[in-house]
Amino acid sequence: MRHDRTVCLTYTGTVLLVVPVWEWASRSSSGVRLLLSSPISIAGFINANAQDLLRATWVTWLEAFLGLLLAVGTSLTLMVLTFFVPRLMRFVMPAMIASQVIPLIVLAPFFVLALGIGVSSKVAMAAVLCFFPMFVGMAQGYRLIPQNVHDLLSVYEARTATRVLRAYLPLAMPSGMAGLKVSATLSVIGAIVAEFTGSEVGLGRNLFLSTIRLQPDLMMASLAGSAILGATMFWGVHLIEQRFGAWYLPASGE
Amino acid sequence: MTNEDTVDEAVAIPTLNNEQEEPAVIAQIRSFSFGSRSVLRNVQLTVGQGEAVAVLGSSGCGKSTLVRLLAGLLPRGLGQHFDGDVVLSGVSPSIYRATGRLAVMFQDPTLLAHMSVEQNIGLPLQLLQREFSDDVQALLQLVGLHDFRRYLPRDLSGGMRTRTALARSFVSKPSLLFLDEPFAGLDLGWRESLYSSLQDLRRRYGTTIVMVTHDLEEAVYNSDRVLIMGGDGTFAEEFRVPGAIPRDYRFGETIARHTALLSRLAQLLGSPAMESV
Repeated sequence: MRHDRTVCLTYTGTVLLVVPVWEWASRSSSGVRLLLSSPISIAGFINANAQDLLRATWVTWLEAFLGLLLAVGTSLTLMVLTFFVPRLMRFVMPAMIASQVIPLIVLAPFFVLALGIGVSSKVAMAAVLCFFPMFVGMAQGYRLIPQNVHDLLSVYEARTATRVLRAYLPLAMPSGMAGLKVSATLSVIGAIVAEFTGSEVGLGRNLFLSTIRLQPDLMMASLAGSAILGATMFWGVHLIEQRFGAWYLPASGE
Repeated sequence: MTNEDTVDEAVAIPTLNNEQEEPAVIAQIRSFSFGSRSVLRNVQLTVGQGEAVAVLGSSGCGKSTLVRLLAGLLPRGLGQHFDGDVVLSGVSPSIYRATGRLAVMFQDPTLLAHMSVEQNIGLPLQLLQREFSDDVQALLQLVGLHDFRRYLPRDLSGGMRTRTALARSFVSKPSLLFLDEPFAGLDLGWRESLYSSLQDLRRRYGTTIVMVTHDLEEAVYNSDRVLIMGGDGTFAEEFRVPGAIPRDYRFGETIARHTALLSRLAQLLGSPAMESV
């Protein structure tokens, strides 16, 4: 806990230092005011539009979360399938890599055209974007399982289902979790990018509007919202890891 | 020269047809190679039921490969060429494994990192879809890890991990146990207590043991027969170790009685280890 307090103090100190400077700079320069708005102005904007902002944040969160769930579900299923049919990996991996070398963001308009401007096109975009790190993490975790472990399982002629449950999935968890953390933050980016292309409500739509309407207050408030979303997703995964990954995480100090 | 003195203590284990008439291991390895590198050739090994055999060789002579071939874990994948036959109690290694009566203790303890000591020891029962039995508790006591049963492998010392692996290899009451340098890298105190654990367990379950090692005393202490492996992947010589197992390690008459054998073995291996004896 002592560390936590130091971290808290550092952050609070930084904020206390930056906010007055920011406020002063935006009062003395219209350029700064147009680009970055000012803390007081943003606070006023958030206060006046709290309900709309919350709604936008909620919708974007939902899109990102559903996208992440979809990606986790798909990559787990695919991974388990490759355990049963090892040769599948040789077909899956190249396709996966090919799908990553094209910038996936260009798919956003496609999803909006195909699935409409509702939630589903954003879920699809988020899922596509955050699928790869999770899957690659798990595949890598599986590859790192020592040959001796495979031999041990073979000595007892363990069935594939038993191997997957008792050994493969748990042992692939450390790198799977590392991938999932990247995926969790990418899911928010995916949802926002898809909202850029066309949507009725959401943080991405706010950000898009803020540029064409030159509304730095809206932009800053939405950026804060997306930062909070990303952090929430990351912390969610972190908490799950704390709960189930005690066997590989470093023991906590106390 | 099997261990008659231990037979009466052996527990009854369901048997394959005619198992008692078949040797526990018949291996005829004409050649085994990784790509162009020949690892083993002209190795022939027959091990009777209940016998303990040690295969002695310097490092890199193919001992681990031999264990994996005997257990049917090799050949695996491209580039490996195996010409030979391995028969365990009259059946192929994979069929024998499916009966759940083979155990292998690898050079590395190979504990699953996410499982506690207790769960690791019980793992073979889960894999074989057998009931979790009191044997796990008994084995924990025997290897002295009862107080550590909830510990994760990473929180154990090397000796504790090895003892966990030893207990695990006995939990399924194997009829046949392969040991691949199981005690390498442990200090003498641990080795002595693990040797006696091994002999205890062996007496209890009447297990046939094939152990590969580079340690002369380990081989002589734990086995009825010692086979010497040459550097070229063949068996050079074979010795029968007199006296009943368990032998009193180091402090009894064993060393004196076996001095000639030990120095002959040392000579064959080109090892300076026994000069002090």
